[in-house]
Amino acid sequence: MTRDEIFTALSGYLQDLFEVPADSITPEARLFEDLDLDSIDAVDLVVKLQDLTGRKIKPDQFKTVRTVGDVIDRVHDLLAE
Amino acid sequence: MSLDRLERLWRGFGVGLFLAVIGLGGSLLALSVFPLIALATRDPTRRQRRIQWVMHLSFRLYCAAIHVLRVADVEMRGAERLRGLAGCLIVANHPSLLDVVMIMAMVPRVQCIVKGALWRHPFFRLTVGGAGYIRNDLEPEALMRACAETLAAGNNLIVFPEGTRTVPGARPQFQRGFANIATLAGADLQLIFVTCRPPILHKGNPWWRVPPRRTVFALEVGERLDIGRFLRYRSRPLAARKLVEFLENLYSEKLGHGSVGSGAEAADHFSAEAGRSVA
Repeated sequence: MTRDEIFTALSGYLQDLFEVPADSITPEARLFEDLDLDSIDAVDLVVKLQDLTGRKIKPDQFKTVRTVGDVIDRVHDLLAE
Repeated sequence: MSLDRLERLWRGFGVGLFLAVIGLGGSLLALSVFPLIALATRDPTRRQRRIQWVMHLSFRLYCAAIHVLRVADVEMRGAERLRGLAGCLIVANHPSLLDVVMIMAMVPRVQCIVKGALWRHPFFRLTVGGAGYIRNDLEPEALMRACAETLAAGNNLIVFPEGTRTVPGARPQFQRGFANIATLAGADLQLIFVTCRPPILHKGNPWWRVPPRRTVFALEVGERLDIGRFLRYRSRPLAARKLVEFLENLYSEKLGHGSVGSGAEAADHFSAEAGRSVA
């Protein structure tokens, strides 16, 4: 998967799960502050990303994630492993 | 000295007295009754039930005393519907320090989320631990799990979605934590609407500053909200968001915010008046 494909999928999840408006989803957008996610939402999102990648994601792999761009990097790394 | 002034002094004294009684009475129970219950009851579930029951009775007595001694009026409407309540998330707005006491006086089987530091307190460790209360310093996921477990076991859990005491007259702003608990645990919500007029023991007001008229605490038991209504949304996070929105609107409407003369203006008027009479 390319970064663009990951971004498209992630953007879809954010809109679908949390009704985040599409135009606020940019790589720089911060998940908690800008997109109004909370730590329990993050668990729901990780479940979706596990389905997308087909890999098990450990919670601490996502501990340091702050922005949409961070999530894309993390998923990209995971698929490259 | 006029009778009115005397009456007001009595209420100022009474508020202080009742705050002291919480501290003293709580410590006394923590040092006598609760250790005895703990010794006599090895089974943690039965121990929880017994400690909860003693707390419930103590708070009932406490509320009755406030009322009888005319420190404030306490009106509970629909409390009989809470007697058999089990496995519900009890949601209430939070105008004063005593809300939690009054709600616990209405519901026999109830738990709450309390400061983690109390688990290190020499007196209260046994109370909060024994009653099975949930500590607020758990990781978010562990906190959700603990709440879901206690609800599944049939306990009711009190939460104040505003997270802190309400500023009188301000529109309620709900946090999402309570909605995460309800949607994850699949627990119904029992709504309670609390008013405290004129306000005492509210945020930013010293306890001894009592209003010219005697305060009426009114607790109205509202509907029991079926969580299934919200779980029909396509995702759990979305259900939580819709629940927050729905209840914010409902509480705001019910408590009459945004209408002329009720909200902030009345509170301002009251503080100005209180300021003058104290000075």
